[in-house]
Amino acid sequence: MIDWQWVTDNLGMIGELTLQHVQMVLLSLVLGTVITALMLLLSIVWPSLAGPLMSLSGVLFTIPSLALFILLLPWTGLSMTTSVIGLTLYSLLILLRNVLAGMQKLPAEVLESARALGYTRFGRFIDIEFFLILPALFAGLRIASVTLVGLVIVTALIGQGGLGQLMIVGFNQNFLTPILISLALSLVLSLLLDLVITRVGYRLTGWTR
Amino acid sequence: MTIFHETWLWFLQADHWSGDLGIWQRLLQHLYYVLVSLAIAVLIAQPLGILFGYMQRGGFLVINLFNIGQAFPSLGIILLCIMLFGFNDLPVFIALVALAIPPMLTNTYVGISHADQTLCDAVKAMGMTPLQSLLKVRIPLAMPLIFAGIRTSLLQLIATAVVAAYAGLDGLGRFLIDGLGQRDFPQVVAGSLIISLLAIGCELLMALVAKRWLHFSVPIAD
Repeated sequence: MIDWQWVTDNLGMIGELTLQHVQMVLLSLVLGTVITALMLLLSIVWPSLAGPLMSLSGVLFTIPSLALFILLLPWTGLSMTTSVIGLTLYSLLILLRNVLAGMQKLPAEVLESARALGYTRFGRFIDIEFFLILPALFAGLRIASVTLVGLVIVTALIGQGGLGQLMIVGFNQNFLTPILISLALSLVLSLLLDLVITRVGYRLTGWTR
Repeated sequence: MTIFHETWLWFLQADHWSGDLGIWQRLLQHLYYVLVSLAIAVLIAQPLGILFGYMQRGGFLVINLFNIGQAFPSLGIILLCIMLFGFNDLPVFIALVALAIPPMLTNTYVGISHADQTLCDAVKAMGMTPLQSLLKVRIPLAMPLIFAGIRTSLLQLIATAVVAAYAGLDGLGRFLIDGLGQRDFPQVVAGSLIISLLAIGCELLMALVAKRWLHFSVPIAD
């Protein structure tokens, strides 16, 4: 079923596309995390923003991925930038939902003690809330990483796409090997990313166990 | 931004709305693919989810199936199905159904198996048979989750049916794929707008149905 000769002949290309895939996922994850942090700070400064942010990200998240990428075309064209912006938007939506939900579920007694100790709103976020929402952030990062690995493949349809390009190649040449290889590699990638994020989260949130 | 103006002009042309290649026809095709595969997936996933949830077995299998389903890229599954089973609607339906099952199965399983234990014990003490307690207590209690599963699957199907246009499926995705192929950007942007509106509309409709309908069917335990 798999033509190993083709695989060894094109090992360089497969490696390059895999690397591109990983780069796009990581770049969007990092950007998404940074913007999530900014949004979170905004929602702390103006607490009434949290509700609208939540519903806005909910609505944006329902837009099918390919349509979202294409709605960015008028600004950035068929480029890597379009894909990364779209992917960042998706990771932002997932992360923001998780983090805001985590903020709402913080134990009230802890927040009240912090207040009694004389923490300012901002100080409380840095010293207490930030750490308490880390598990929610990492849960979000796990979901986002798996989703992004799949979404990068969709960007193959607008000319980017890492491993997605292998699928397009295989489909156009009616050749099963590239499709199977890219399916397997993207599965491995999402499992690996999930594993790494889980491990890092485990290290960083030692107090939860 | 001339592209928005061009998109607007694209919308204004009457022949883009009617006929076999028009918006209405494509919208109907899209809904047909989505709803048929959703119906088949519901018929498979819900009984299985209820069964596994009621027996409190197979949770490991269900959750992992969900995770693996999430990790498999939908485009890859569709292209693979077409190459394995030939070029017509059937393989696309197989792929769509396969992708729609995991979210519903997981939600239903969790809903049924994590139903409030005190309530379940109470109705047992009141003399309900296991079947009665399943039908009258567990399923109504799990309704919000079951519904959430159907909603997730529906939106996923709408998105996947768009991508499936690359593999030759009709429906709204054609505007995107054909437009990209012809570098006809007004058509592509217009198609994306229609699809986004369809998805958001379905989401709002589902939210409305849930509010109306679940309001009546959930027995509140207070």
